[in-house]
Amino acid sequence: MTVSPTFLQWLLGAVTLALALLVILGRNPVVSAISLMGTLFSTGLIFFSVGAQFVGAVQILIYAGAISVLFIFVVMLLDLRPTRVRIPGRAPVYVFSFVVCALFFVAAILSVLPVLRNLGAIEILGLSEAGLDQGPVAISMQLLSKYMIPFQATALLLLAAVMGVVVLGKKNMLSERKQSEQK
Amino acid sequence: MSQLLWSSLLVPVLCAFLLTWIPVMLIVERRAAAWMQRRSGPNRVGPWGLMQPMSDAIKMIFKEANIPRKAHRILFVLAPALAVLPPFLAMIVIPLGGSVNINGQEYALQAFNVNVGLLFYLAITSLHVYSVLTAGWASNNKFSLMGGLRASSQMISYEIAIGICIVSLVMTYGTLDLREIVKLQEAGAGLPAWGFALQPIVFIVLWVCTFAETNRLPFDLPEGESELVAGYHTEYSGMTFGMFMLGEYAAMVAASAFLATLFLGGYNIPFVSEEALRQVFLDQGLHLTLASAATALLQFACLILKICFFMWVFVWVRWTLPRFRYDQLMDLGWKILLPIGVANVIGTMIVTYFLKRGG
Repeated sequence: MTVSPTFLQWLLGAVTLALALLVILGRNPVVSAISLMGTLFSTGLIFFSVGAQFVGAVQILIYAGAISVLFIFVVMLLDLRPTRVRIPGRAPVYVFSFVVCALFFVAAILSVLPVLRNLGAIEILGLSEAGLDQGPVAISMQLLSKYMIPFQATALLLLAAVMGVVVLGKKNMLSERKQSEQK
Repeated sequence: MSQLLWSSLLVPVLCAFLLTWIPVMLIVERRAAAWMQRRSGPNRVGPWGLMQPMSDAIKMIFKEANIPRKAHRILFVLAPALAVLPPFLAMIVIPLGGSVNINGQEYALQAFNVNVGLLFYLAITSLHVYSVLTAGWASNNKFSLMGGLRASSQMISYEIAIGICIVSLVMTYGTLDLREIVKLQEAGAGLPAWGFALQPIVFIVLWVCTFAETNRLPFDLPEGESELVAGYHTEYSGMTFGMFMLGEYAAMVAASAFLATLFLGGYNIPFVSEEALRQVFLDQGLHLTLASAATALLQFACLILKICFFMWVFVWVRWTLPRFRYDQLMDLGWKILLPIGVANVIGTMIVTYFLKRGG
């Protein structure tokens, strides 16, 4: 299904892009973190504008409301000074990182090519196919039947990540304790 | 008339409604405090001191809004704006009254009729923490930073308890649509169908969490004037400080409206259904549009009364309870409210399962 975007959607898109650019171009880490929040929030608004209200609300609730708070919290506590990022190493490293970045950029362009081809018309990418514009009931039905395995696998992945963090933190604590015992 | 036009007519009304609360609450809070502490309170400006909020506002507007030299200028100015925005945005999903019938078309007294209103409200109010956090950091002052950090961890902790409570509430109502939740509470046309009778534990826990989310006493540790000068808004003056005040009271009104919608039947008038009331007006010989508008206005007035109740408890508690210590606050959130919420979810699951099977 294709519809041409409204003025509001163009505006939201522009705001999202501007904020996203600010995230990587801003020199102050806190400003970057706050613009990241803004990016996630306006992405949620875009979801609202295409009628996927549940996804939009969840996007704002989880990403803009909870996760970015933790980012900003950590960045503020680290007390980072505004810096310029310098790529360490010599010429071969520059060339290699440039090539890798270029490849990623090409891959990204290729993946959004179907959308770019008819610029000026939003292709609501499978939103209604997946029932995402239907509301919470339809989404839960899909999530707990068709997408049950990916859903559970994601949960396992998150659990593994949490455990990994605990293990990594514990390891340092153990080695520190050993060191202090040896002393 | 299109739905969009109707919504854009409602939004200014909503803003005016929310702003009207602020001077009223200012005088109510100060007079109530004085009354509870057996002093006179502000009683010099106007009759019974009623013009006091006006003179406060004039003072704030004309006072210099000072920006400290070492502050981050953009974020310092952005923070008060972020304090005011979320409550105003959150109010648009609250159903204010029944629907008005214009040319055979029903227009709901709700600016944004979204099918996930409950989630929308939570999502938008969760953005409130940014104003406090940004203000704390941008002021470049250690008291402010401490206030900001306290606020963020406090709000995130209590959001988890709120989320768990909402789960059992959604299981009871079976919908995320605030308008439908209000309609479901109308069904009994009396007290027992209201949310607080269905989920009394959730009502209490959510109410407590609301105090923490709006940074009101006994949870106002982000301000904590005995420890942190004025917490996150230490460096603010003039109207930039006024914006924080405005945001706090607007957030209280939005939270009260939200609680009233979920637990006190929203705009429902006890024992009187919307149709019955409309019929009464129709019997008086009123036109359908007028009759429905009168009904909706009466229901709106009823919602205002319910909001008044919650607002009064906000004030009452503020001048009754002392402030918590920070570890007590965290213990209450994580070790008491969250387990109660989880236990309540499990209980609700079992009851819902047997009710569904029986019915």
